[in-house]
Amino acid sequence: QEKKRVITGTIAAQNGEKLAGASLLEKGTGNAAKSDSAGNYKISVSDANGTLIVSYVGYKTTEISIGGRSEIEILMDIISSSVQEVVVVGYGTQQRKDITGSIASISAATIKNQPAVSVDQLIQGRAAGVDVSQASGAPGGRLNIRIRGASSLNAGNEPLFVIDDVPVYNNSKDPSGTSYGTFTPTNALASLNPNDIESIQVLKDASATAIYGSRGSNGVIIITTKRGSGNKMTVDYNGYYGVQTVANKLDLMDGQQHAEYLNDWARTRNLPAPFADPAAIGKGTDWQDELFRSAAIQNHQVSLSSAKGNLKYFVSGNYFNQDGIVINSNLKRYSFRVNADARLSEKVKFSQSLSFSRTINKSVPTSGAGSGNVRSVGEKIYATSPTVPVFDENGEYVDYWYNAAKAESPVASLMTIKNKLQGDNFLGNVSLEYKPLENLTFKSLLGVNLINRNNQEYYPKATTYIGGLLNGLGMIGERKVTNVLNENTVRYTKVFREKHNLEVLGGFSWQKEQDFSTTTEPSGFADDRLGVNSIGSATGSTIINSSANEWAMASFLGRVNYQYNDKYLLTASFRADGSSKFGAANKWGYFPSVAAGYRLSEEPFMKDLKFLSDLKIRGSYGLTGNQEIGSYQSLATLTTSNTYIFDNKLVPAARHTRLANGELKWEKTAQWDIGLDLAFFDNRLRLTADYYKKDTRDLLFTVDLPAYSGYSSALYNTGGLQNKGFEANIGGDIFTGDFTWTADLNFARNKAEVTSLGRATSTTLFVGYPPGNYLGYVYEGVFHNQAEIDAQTAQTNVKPGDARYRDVNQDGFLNADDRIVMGNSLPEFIYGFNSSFGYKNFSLTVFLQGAAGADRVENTGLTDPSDSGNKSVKLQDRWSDKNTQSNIPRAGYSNVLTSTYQLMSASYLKVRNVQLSYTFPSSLLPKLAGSSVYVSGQNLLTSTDYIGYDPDGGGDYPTATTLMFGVNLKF
Amino acid sequence: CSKFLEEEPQSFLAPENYYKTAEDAFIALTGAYDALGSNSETFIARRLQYLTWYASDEALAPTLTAQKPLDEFSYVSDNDDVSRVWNNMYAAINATNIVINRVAGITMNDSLKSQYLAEARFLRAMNYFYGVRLWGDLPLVTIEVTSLSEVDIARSPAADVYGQIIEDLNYAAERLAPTNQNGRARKGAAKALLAKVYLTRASSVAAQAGDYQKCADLCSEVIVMPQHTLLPDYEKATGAEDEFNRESLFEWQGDRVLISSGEHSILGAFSLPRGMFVVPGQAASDGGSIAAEVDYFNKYPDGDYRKQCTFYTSGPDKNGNTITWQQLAVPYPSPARKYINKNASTRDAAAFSGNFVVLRMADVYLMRAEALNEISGPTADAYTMINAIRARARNRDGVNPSAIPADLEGLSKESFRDAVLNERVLELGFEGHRWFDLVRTKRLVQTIKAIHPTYPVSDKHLLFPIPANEVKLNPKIKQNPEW
Repeated sequence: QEKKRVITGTIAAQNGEKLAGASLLEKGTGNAAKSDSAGNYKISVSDANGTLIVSYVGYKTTEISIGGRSEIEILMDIISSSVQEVVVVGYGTQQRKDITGSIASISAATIKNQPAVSVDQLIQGRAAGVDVSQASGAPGGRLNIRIRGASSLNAGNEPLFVIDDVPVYNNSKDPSGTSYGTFTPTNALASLNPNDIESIQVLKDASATAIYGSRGSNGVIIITTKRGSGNKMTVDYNGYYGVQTVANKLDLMDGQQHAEYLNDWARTRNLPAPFADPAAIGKGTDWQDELFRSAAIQNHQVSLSSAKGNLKYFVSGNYFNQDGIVINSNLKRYSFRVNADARLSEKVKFSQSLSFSRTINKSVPTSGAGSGNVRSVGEKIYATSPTVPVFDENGEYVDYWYNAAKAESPVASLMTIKNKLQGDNFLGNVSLEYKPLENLTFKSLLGVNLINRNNQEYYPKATTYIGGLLNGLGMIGERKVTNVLNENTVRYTKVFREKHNLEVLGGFSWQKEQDFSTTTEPSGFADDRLGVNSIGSATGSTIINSSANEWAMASFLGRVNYQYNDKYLLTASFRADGSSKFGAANKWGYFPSVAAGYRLSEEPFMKDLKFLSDLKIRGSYGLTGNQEIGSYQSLATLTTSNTYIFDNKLVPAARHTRLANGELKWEKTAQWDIGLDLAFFDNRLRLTADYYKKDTRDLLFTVDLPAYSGYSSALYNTGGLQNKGFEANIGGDIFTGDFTWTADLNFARNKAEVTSLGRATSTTLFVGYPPGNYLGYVYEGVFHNQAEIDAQTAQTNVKPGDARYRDVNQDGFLNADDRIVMGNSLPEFIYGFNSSFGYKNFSLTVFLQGAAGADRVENTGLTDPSDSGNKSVKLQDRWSDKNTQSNIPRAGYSNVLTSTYQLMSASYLKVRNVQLSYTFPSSLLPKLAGSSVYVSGQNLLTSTDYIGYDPDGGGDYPTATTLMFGVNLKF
Repeated sequence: CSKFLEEEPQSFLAPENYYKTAEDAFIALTGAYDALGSNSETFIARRLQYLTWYASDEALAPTLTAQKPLDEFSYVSDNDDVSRVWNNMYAAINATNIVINRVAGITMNDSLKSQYLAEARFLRAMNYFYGVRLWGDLPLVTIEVTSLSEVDIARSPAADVYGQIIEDLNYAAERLAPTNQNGRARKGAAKALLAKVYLTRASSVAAQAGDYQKCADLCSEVIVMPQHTLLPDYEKATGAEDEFNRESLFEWQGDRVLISSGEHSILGAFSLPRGMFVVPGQAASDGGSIAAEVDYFNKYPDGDYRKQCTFYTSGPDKNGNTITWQQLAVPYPSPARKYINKNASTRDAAAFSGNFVVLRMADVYLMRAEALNEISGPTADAYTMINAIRARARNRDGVNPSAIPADLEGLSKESFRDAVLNERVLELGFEGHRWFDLVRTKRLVQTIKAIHPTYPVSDKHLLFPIPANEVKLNPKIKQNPEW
């Protein structure tokens, strides 16, 4: 028998970090070893001139010839690709290669150096199948996120966010406001400082989300914040300063053009022409210039990080300040975070993630409100005639113009409406991990989310219509939300006979939320200057409200991961969720999933294909749920009021106003997913593709009830919805070396279909069609002359210049039966393309994002010739006595029906971000190694046929283009 | 753990934690009264009257385009007013079912409990009685609906609905006291309503022998009650100034002044003469929505005191000059008189404060006259009944007696029947009886054809269509014939 030789040394990464648990194998023998926690190894080899194979997750496997040495220091190269990255999954982590579900990862690096108050603004276009659209361009405006389409019709469709293990829904927790104006609701994610984020994982298929059970149907986004790293304390400063301007100005009529329009408009209504000489008006007032401004945005962050010894910590402080591009709007955030991990003993580890933030949002109305009393910014712009000056000859704001109902000066009202929404948010968790055995870990976690919000609104009597009507209108709202979470898990890992890898997870968790709010809406103020700060001086009637809400969940969860020889992968998970929101009979729901993966690239016959570095086929099936409805929906309600009279006196009366539904239960989604992961040429070219089908049944649906039940509607589980689609992500390191070029393209197509309405009836949903349909008439231009009118019977009471609609069913009448499904608001496909170029210390990234196939009905009045507001320049070509061949209705035509006339494509392609940065080499600034400076531009270009402000939303508060300069300093 | 997931609402009441005390029982009962009209819906005093006033020869809707189809008999099964009456009626029935179900289980004073249950039964019967006359067969719900599975039911035959109504009213008549707070059911009201039920059933598909006799007997019982009487002055018996007089048996309660945005009758405001300033500060836009048919107006002989107590025929215009109804922008007689409180100083108090009288003594007299005539022709007793009404009309206000209308005598059975029907026009005009009277006596089609030959009125209009949505929501609900 040959005498063995012992070789010792350390294994480290190129940056010097010691690698614990790296594997060594003497080639052609069974001699193997692993490095210890300090990276030291010791291996007995048979051949002093043999070869060592060293492998470590995330690093390139290297072969080293021993060459007779007995001490060898081994340095390993990191693998550039994501194949071996660590992915955060629900209740744990896994290596990318072992993942059987569909999970998209977004690293902090790809979304850095961009102006955004919240992280959701940054994930748009970054992950295949994640459709992000914005409701408003206002600072801190909320976004709609749909992962693989909307899986519900009446319940919520937003994904579940899990921020450092605490499940959080991004629903507004704002106190309610007045019924007159709608301001920017708080984006729950705005309380989270994006600079603190380490990674974002988007869990898409049932295998990945079923561990979140009843909250998994809409997908799950796991956000992990940064933790301490490095052998010594580092101090980072990140800051930027930028200027925002409106991304797109509308092509509206100028003063003279609108004066001519108004003359035409008045004539058809038998009113005298208001302008004797339109040309004298000239350009008039450009209200867009009056209401928009160049606005500053700045962000400053200081963070400390260290992982020296038994204590790891990451501490950060952040100040963010964004002026809105609309006058008098602004958002500020102050936030503070302490993340720490302490190893208390060999077996016990303590961790905590605590963050506190305050956001102060001063907003302007972003959506038109009830009875036209308060106009959004957009409406102020469309509605106000450019023939009106801002100030009259006395320097006073003009608050009356031609034929405008309830006019107020747009500038004066925006400048004087007061809105302040202040939110304090505390989100954190503490956890204790106990490891009695090498492969057994107990973990207990306590998480808390505390939200205190205060909302103030004031409409002055002097400058606003509604304020004038009510002699000053105010609102103070307070809301306190307390959410507590406790999670207890046990994890067991074991490798059997080297090839069988097993991980078993089990756990129990509960979560409870309490929500209390009060609002006071006084009117009749003595003095506008004090507003709601002098609520006691209000003399009008005051509306006072309060409400209390609670929900609770209890859950059991479990998961088994099994791998055989790195080749066959199996994951099965199960969760039982009990929710207070459901009927007594159906509080508990059960959500199983199973997934399998097969890494063909590990097969011997594939190993010979040198160009192939990874090939994995995955498949999964599982059930997830949706419980996003309000509390108490399964209970009957009794409403009391003082509204009846006995003996000429008011008496209290109680009526049942909601039918109990003890059967109310989970909306359930069954999802299939077939996926493929491919990598070529040492992982330089990577492809991930998935096909999925989601069937949601027992939809939480508000169904109409027969009236003889005594009720008009009830929440009921009925109907079905299907989403199916395809997503792909292709990435490549096209050039490596001095000049680098990395490109990533993602693409997703989703097709939704209502498969059943069950008990429900609907006038907007049809079986076989997707939700979001636009029903309308077919526009066929205008009646050019009387002869064309006489030649038809379908439309009566029409004049030349009136719109002509198709009599689709050819019954000789134009009525509701002639409407067709003319379009749909959902995009057919969405895509994102990121390209990074690097040369020495310079890097340039260009990020494009787009959506195609969505329609939008233009309902802002830009093309509606019936009223006297300002119009798109397209209406210059309207029908008139002198322009009889036009196909745009005449000014003053009032019977405008929803039709293909207003329908337009909302497809777009945007240059979302271009960034140029320079990293200082250590030779230049040895003390600031790794520091960088950059210039970045956001929302630079949009290519679209859509005529409003932004096809991606934001019609009432337009999107901004931002140019900025920033520095990242490392001390 | 199951406790942890239990919901306990904190800012609203749930039935589970209610219905514990006598006070709760009272508030639930009030809810059943309140359900007769909520806010602008006012089932009894608005939509129901649209149906019975417009779809008869009583009124027309010169300015309300949405109600024109009712007036012109072109309404279809998704008619909004028909649906609203159906919906509100069943909401009101549900409220009574809840009281009957829940109050029974409350530990409280037994006589009070019996009274509350009797009031709820009265209200349920009244609602179903409207329903069975408007639609015929009905889904008969007499339990508190607590789950969706209980609502998939078919219509019950009208005979069964009548059976339930009679059972409820017998229960109520037996237990209710002769007196109660103003606005609440009493023994007299229950008996009078039961009399009307028998009278109506007697000529319906569900007729049973003895119906007329039962009607006549019940009317007698009410007439001899000391709590109720015919007032000497017709105006005091019908005017909005004098609520809760001794002639009144049951009134729906509405008052815009007391409940600023709550229940009130719009009948006064809507039927004002547009352009005639008979109410202080009257807004010009309200009036004229409900106008009297000229033919109906002409049924009132000049000199019949009840004509001036029912219609505004002349009054000041905005300049104070007296004009007549023919000079109005909407040139029809205004039937607003019974709904305008002429002593009130504000427009709201004048036009929106009137109760709606569901039952009063004059109706009881005329029912008895009609029933007796059907049993054995115009007996002396029958003449006594109808002539009491006519004598009261002659009495006027007791100060200016008139010769009109003279007592009736020497009529055949058929002529007496016609005379009673005509007397009901003069006595009970715009009080919500006309459509039911025309249908009960099978005169609807001929009466409408006589004044509007072109209206497509036919036998199908003897019942209203079941609201289209109800048929859509439950396939077991079959539509009325020809609708």
